[in-house]
Amino acid sequence: MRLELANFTVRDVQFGNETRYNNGRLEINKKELIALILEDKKIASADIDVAFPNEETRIVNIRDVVDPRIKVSGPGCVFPGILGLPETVGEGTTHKLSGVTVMVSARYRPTILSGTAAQMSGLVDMWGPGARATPFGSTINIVPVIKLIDDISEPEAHTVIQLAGFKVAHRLAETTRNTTPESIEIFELFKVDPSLPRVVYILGLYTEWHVVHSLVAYYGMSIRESLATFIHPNELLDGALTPDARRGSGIMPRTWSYTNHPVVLRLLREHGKRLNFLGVILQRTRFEWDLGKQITAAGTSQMARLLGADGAIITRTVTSGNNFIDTMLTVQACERKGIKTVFMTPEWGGKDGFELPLVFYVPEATAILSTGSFEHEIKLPAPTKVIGVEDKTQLVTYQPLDQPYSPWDEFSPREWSRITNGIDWWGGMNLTCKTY
Amino acid sequence: MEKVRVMHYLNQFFAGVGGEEKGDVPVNSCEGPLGPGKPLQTLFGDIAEIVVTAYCGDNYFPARREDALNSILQIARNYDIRILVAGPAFQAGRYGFACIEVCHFLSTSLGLSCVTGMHVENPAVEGYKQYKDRRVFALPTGESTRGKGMEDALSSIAKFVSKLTTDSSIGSASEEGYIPRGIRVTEFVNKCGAERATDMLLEKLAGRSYATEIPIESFEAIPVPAKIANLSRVQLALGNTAGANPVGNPDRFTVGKNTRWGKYRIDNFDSMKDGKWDFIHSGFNTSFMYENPNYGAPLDVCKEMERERMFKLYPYLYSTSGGGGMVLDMQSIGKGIARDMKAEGVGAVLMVST
Amino acid sequence: MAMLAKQVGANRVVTGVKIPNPCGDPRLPEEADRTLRREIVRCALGALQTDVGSPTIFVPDLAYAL
Repeated sequence: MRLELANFTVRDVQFGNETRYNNGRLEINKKELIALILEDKKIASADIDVAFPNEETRIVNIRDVVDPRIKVSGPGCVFPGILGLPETVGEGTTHKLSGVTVMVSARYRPTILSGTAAQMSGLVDMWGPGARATPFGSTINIVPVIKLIDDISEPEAHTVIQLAGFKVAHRLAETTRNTTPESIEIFELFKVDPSLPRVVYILGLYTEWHVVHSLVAYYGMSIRESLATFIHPNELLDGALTPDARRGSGIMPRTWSYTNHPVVLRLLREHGKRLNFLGVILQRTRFEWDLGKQITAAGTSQMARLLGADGAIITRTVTSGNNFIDTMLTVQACERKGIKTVFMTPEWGGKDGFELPLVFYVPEATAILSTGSFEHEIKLPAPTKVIGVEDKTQLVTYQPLDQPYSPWDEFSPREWSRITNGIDWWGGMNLTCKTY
Repeated sequence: MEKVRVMHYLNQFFAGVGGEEKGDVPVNSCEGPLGPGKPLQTLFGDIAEIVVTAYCGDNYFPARREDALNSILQIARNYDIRILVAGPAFQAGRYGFACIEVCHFLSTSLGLSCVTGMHVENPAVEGYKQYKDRRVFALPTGESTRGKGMEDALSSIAKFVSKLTTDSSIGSASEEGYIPRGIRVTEFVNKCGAERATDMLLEKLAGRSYATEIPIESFEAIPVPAKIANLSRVQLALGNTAGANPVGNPDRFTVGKNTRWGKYRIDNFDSMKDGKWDFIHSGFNTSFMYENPNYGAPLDVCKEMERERMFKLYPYLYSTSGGGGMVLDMQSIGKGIARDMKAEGVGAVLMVST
Repeated sequence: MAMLAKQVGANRVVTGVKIPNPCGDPRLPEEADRTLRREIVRCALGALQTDVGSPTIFVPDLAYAL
């Protein structure tokens, strides 16, 4: 499986008469894109705005963030199972626009008000401490601001929001189809020196088996209470894994993070150099009873062993302390099978960093990497511009039953999860915690 | 540049008053350095000056802690002190305890930066870690003054004090060499997590040393209550962390990061289904408990067993919501519930946790 | 999560069924569910009447046919 990822960097975005890419500049025909979005009759109104790094702009009601990329050759399409048939992807040539995202800001009346299946919104600040907490503080964000029709169910809302983002992203990436790329990177797990250490990446994904969209989909199908699944890293680069598009909080990574996965990209780049990258084990968490947690730990570590792994990097998603146990037990099970692990995780610790960083420990977890804390205090200053609300009086809610707040004010969120991709699940940011 | 004014705290032995037999001497002071303060002053050079030394007996301090602290505070005020140095105490437990208490009190009362020195296994280190005072720093020393023990300890204290006078921000424990207080701080570094994780794994696989970024914690043991000898005589209480409460959420539990608890009458019910309950919790699927609240508190079978005289059931259900709860808040809720249970004569508890 | 309770120092821990329903199983018919609930409580009462030296997990007497 060999994938050529052709890169087209976007250094500037302007509205213009045509939607086209030329030499680092992406021009957007606003009318055309709005018409494209409004083809979906479940969307009542739409607008498009653009946010640049270092502006004092806050974007709110964020639901999903998408990377513009298209497949120009090879089986399948980007986002298989959603934009096309669920054929195995990760081969041929894919074009991507880097330095820019499609960041969908959407509002709709929720029908589920509480619990783990309710909508969630995120925010992104393009300047200040908020910008440093998320990769989207340094990208140019093209923001479709959409309002869905009133009578819409939650599963429909997900589909509408997801497709709006995917369609715009696809249209933007189309501008590069016949253009020579700036650079091409080849991703392939070619045969390597057998003495190189064999490394597997265990990607822990929290899913809710009993809701319509389980929070993570594999080729468009919700992952429920499944067992460990082995995939080729290239599949992620072509969008084989996608999240619930209604939940823009930092608790769950957005589509953009799956296609730009920091650990997967790093291991692919190190393949043949310092290590032999075997592939990615998808591990679904959180099992809701002790035996279930032990079963996933045993099964996932067994898959790593059968693959002949010497070592594993392990990560997880979602701030649930409960699912943390699934992952820690997996660390333990791997170590006991002779597979050396590094567990990369953000920590708790309370507002001041006085409380325990983690909620559960196993003695075998001797190599833990911290990607910062999502509870430590962060202060977000007041913006001069807000994208995603109709006027200065409109309030925003994080979750339907939560206290609404004004996005025009400064505030200290209780958790970094208020920021889209504000929790560094996969080590893409330069964050850590130190002990004082 | 003006020399920074330092107060030095010593025990009776290092102050030259006497040994164990002088452990009861009250707080006293003298101008300038005393005992190990003298070589310390030499090391300070022009940067700092020990303008006063306060000392007190190792037994006097714990016996008259409040008085001692207030006297020492007064001396610090009178001499317009900017930095406090205490000890070094090496392995001495009582001396170490006094040093930490003095540092904590002066740091919180006057905002002073405080430096002390002791061995990492000094029992006083526990208190230092609990206080988590941002401006109190304990430097690790050898076990005793033997050999170069005192010389090395004073040298590291002097270096640190010098840092405090020139630089107002002190780095992490591993960077600066002080005993960590356990305060975690989020910071930006020059490599991203994925790169650091790959590097760490390769080091581990090669058998080379690496530095874990989150140390494994050990939890304090909770003393085990004795077993119940005769259950039929005991008042048994039911409790839950699922956030069960009568519809309307009278005690205002929050779905996450809750800080409250309550107790609700169950004596007139034969089963949880006889009442109307809400489950205020955002961390699990509450629909099953709404269907059958006995899943959250097994009242139906407990009432049955009570009728069979297996125990007496306390007439109220204790309740709180544990989702995403901060540890300190949960500890305080637990203490509140326990205090109430003891006052009510509850002898045993079944706490149902989700 | 019995193993978490044990780690933070709870001395007598009884394993329940599942997070959303620790004291029973909604998939069972009513009678069987109540019997299961009674067994969980019986096990807990047993734990209260047993000497332990340190955090101990007590497992109710049932087949985990999950």
